[in-house]
Amino acid sequence: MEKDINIEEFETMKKQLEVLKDKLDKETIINEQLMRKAMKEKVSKLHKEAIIIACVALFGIPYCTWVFSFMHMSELFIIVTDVFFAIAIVYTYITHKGLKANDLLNGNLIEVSYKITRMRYLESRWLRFSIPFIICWFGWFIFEIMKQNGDEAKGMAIGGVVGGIIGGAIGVSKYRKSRKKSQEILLQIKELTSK
Amino acid sequence: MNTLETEFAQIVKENKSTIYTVCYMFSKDTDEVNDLFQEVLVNLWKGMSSFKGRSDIRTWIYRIALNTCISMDRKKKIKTIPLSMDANLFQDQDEDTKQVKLLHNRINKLQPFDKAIVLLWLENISYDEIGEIVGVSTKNVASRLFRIKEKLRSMSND
Repeated sequence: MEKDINIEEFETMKKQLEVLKDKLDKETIINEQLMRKAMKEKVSKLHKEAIIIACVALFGIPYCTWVFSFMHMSELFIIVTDVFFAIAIVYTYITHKGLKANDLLNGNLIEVSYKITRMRYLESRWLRFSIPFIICWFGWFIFEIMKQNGDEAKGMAIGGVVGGIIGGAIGVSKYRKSRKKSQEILLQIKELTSK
Repeated sequence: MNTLETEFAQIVKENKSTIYTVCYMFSKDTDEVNDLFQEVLVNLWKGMSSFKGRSDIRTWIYRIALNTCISMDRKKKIKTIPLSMDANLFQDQDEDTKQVKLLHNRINKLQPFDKAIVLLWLENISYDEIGEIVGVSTKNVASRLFRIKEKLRSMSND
């Protein structure tokens, strides 16, 4: 099989790689002395991010209930919002379940990519449901605000519409990108493991 | 500095060119290389305590670097202190950099797993080890490499 390939060309590639590594060997990492500090800082930021997400999940429902009650929204609206919030939390937990940091660091490329891609795929499936839901929820939200009349309500409605359009556009774009990337990786995994 | 930190600093120092090469081949510009480089270092640091010499250090580094480069969500970056190398492989104009760019242009056109396989092959890593890192059989590595080489050859004929 090998003889069909232009050996010389690949030897050139190997030499080019050697040139690259020689070049890099001469370099020093900028802020080498700060390397440990940066690592610790970043790991601690990741932990903080996880704590914030957990807090949002834990206090989000009571907070929404309190704010919407304060805004005199209907009980049904508050219940639907809380249920959606709860489903989102459970779904996020299920999506990320089984994605252990250690496995990700030590597993082979196909295993890790499959786990991450599966997670992204589930996330994109969630967007498929949540985007139409949020659009409907949003209409309802505007309706609830408009019921109250007054300039303040109108201001909130306009702000809500602008925010909703921007959020919706970001959501759709994220969904499309995430789905495309997942499909590409899954296709390659299938191709690699099918032989 | 405790033992683990000293060990980590030493590993990074000894393998920085390998890590940076992987990051470079998976990037489109200097910022992206530096982001990936930092991300790989964070993952190496996180995995240090569980590594305990279970496999060859080189295999472990490749595994983490390639996993990070293939799977990292490029949007979710948490920047701390900039950790980069002085070399600007995208802008320098010397003869060596031109050669390196030729290699980058070819490899960058491949799909992520093919990129990983060809990089490992160029580093003279055995088919067995490549199979172990990627998660496919040795036979599969051989046939995949044949196809990649054909792809690369057709690129040079274009």
